[in-house]
Amino acid sequence: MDTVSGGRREDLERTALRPLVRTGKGYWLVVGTLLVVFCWGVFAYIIQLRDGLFVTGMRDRISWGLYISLFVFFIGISHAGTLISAILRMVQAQWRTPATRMAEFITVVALSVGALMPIIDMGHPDRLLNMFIHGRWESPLVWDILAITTYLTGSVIYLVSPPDP
Amino acid sequence: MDDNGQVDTAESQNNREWQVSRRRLLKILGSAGGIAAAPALISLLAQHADASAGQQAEQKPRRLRKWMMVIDLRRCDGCQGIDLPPQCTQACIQGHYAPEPMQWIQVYEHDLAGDGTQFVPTPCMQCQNAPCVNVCPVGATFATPEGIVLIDQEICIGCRLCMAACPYDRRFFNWGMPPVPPESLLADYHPEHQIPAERGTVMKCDFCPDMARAGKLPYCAQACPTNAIYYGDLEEDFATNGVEVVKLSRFLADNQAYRQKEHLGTKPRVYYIAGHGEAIGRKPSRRGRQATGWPWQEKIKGAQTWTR
Repeated sequence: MDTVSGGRREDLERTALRPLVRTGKGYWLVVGTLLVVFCWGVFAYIIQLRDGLFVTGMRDRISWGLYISLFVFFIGISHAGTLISAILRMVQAQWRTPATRMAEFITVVALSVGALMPIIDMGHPDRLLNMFIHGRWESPLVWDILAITTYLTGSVIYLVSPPDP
Repeated sequence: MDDNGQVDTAESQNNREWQVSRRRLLKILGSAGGIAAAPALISLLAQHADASAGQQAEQKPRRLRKWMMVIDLRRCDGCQGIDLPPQCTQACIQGHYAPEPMQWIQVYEHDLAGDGTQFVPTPCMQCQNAPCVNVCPVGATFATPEGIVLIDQEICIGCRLCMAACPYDRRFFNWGMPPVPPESLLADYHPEHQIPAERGTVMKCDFCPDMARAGKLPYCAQACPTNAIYYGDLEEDFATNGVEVVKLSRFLADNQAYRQKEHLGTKPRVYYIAGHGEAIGRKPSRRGRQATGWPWQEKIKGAQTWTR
């Protein structure tokens, strides 16, 4: 049935999947650099927790800054992931399986990072649960939470449930 | 090509099983979610019904105050006459231990249509359809039955949605450890009396209903050297600046009182009478006022000072 059979197929597979199994110097360099950036971010957030939002340089007149921009940016990225997988499905492209998986991954990761941003932006992140205890449906922010949790749940289910090539 | 086609059918048969399983999984999850959410929704609705019933029961028997303010701009010269910072702002800061740079009642200098300027003291407008109350996700800012918009700094999560919503720019955020004197920490906190200031929460003019109930005028009205600020009750239809008492309906109509940004539909309770200090002899061409100051020598540990 296969166009390429037996040993040759395995050979091709091994070549294609090698970067996943064996990692080179460049990979670890990228991972290391990103880890440093990540730790830098954690350090900066600890400073923000200690000193307050004062350190961000935001003030009353510009009370939303980079955090909310990043929130919108990452939500946009996650939409791109969903859009790619949806379009590929609609046009029934035969080669779409790997691209769809990548797009689903992008959706989940971008959405998780995006959802973190408003929490970082809060003046009192320790009172996050107030959103559920005292939440008001009249507020756009509560709908934000509802929409993003729904979207994230859906994306995660799609990602972990068996793929649908 | 032929081979390819066969591969496809074989694969898609295989896939159909997967597809079914995914669809079934989604169905199961969906119905489980629905069942889980139903009781929460019902309890929420019940809570709302309870709350509104309780409010009505509380409101009906007694007569409710509708606190309001009239600011007579004909008598406001931004304290140029006494060559001091605006006394309303200063008294408010000292009475409330307001952190720098918060001016809950701020005296703006506006250009007049012709030449010259006018001074406009601007407290929180106490909107009856307040955008800040409408957008607050946790109900930390709320309207009392008396119609005063307050903030509960013990619930506020510091999202600053209300600051984006306020069309009057009358909300202030504690960006860092507030620069307030240590004695302010001894005060008993109440939303009507926002002392001590808390980091990471929003503050604003609370309209001093606690002082009104105790028979006193708010700090700003007490301190105004020209008695330009009237404080009163729309329900009882009177207001006073501490020297004279006026019948509100008549006073507002006779002087063609207006409110700021009425077209937005926020229904503010702070009225203005147009003017530029002419009643106390201010020349509109004389510009500038003294800068507001925060008088404390000693501040709490870790206090930061920022600009607005």
